[in-house]
Amino acid sequence: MDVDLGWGSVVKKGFRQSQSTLHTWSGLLLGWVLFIIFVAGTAAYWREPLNRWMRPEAPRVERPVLAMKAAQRFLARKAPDAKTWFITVPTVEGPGTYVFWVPQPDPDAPKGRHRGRRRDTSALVDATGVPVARETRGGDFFYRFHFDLHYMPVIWARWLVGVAAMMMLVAILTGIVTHKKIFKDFFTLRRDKGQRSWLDGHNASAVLGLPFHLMITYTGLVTLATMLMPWATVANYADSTKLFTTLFPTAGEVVRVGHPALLVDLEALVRNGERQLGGPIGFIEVAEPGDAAARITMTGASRASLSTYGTRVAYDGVTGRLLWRSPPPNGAVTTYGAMIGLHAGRFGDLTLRWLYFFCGLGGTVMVASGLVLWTVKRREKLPDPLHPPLGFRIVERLNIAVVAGFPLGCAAFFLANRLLPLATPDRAEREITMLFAAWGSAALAALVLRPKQSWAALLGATAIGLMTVIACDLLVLRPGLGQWIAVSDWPMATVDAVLLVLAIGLAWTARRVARHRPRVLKPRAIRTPTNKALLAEAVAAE
Amino acid sequence: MTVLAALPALAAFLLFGLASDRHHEPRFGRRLPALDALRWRLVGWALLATALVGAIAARGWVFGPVLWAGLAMAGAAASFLWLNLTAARRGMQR
Repeated sequence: MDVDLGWGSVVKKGFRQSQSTLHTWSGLLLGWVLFIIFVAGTAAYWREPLNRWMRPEAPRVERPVLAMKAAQRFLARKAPDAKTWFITVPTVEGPGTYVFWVPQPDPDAPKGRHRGRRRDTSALVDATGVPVARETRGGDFFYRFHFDLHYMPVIWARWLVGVAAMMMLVAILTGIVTHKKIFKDFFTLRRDKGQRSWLDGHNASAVLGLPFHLMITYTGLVTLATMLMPWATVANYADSTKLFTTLFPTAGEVVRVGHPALLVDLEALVRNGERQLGGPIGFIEVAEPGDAAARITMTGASRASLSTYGTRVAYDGVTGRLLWRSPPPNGAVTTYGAMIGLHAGRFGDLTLRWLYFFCGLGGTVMVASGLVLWTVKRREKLPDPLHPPLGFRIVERLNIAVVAGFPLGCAAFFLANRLLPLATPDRAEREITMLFAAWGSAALAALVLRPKQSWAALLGATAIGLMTVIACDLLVLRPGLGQWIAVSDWPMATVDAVLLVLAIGLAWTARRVARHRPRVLKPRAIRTPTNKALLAEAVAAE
Repeated sequence: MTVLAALPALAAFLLFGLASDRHHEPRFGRRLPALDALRWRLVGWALLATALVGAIAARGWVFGPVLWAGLAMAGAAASFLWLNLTAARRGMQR
């Protein structure tokens, strides 16, 4: 690899230069992971709307309480003797009610973690009490992928994401030191100036969203803190269950008595719970439903407070009598919960969620432009532009494979959601397979084609893919885009509108790349002094 | 109420941008004297403070500052795009 790492010159060039080197390499090495984390995380701000949009057959949840009661009826039919029911209280944003249940322990069953498939004990029930037909991970995919990635053990993925987040924090802090003029050049964008334009664009996306970037990286690390830095908990708690019950106290175990009894009406109980907790209920746990010992525990919704952890109340499941109230959470739990809440923006109303979304887009642009900048900066200095060194070619092609390839995968994911027949076995996993198949093909194209061709082809293909999704919604899907607009179902129509804007943006970029004629590089010697000074300034600013 | 926070945040960053030499001279045809630039920036800061008051009035002490930070970033981004994209068109006409 013929790449100047700059290590040798660190001492000579001083502090700023050393920070610049650190910025370049911490940003580059994990930039590809950061890019997909940013894309997935940005999409995940619309997790519930996407969950619904990817299950367009499910009727809109008009009155969440009715949908919840429908889910209760479903559970009473499906798992009347379960040990526990878990019900995620539906919202008007989502596709229905997520329920899962734990069957009574079978004394004959072999002990082990994998006693049954998750799918056999969980369901998404629509507002009328019927399981939703279109099997998909929906927006949940982006949410999980954001920190668990895919096709790899969750714990590896979280370490990788954690390391990437640390590098991001390093890159942000060193970036502030390196580009000392970013605040002075706050409003500067020199257009059509090659490297300068890329640098200005990178700076702008970084500085304009700097409060968000710092917050999101730091709080992102906090969400993984107990895994990255387990020493405090390991030193104080030998048993992780004990730690969990200390942090998140419960009303205790329920012992089945064996006398059948009718479960209390959930609607009235939820009303009472909302009064007790002073906000909406997010989650309901019914222990031993149908038994005289039944107990119902309700947790406040994440969206009700800055802290993502709601407090809880427990009721007798037969009489509806209030049994227990969780003590106020301690300072550490509240701080931790508030940081996670700030990261995920669950408390946000529509205005705040749009702001989060735009900030996420800004972060995505920042990472992408930083990755591209690495090649742009080096290309101008290549001794022989026609035969760049291997390291340069690897970075250039990996940039295309990730920055242009992953969005193509996402478009394929949406397209698979619309086109795969509903009866397809393992449909949800197939959709994800399509994402990775498209992404893999994109990576292959990036490897084979010339960079300029593959940039234009992949960005263009993504635009076409997204347009096809919109065309499906308009022409094939029933009820589709036309009906959504007709009945003012704006959350659904807005998803298509956002995809349209993204498609237009990608098509425009693809066209620009395809038409781009690189300036004929003059040999250094005949550069005018002003250009030379500019260049020196650019190098110094780096 | 949110609008009462959003508009001052946008105006603040427009003032910051227009107070800079880079954007002032092409638009107003003359350099802004240093003292005036300082005044523009002070008004900008005052507007940002107003936006914070508006955001807290709209969302309370917990979510207000979050909204304010978001609106400030949005205002900065909108000003950035407007100042640079319209300036370029003018430059082309010349």
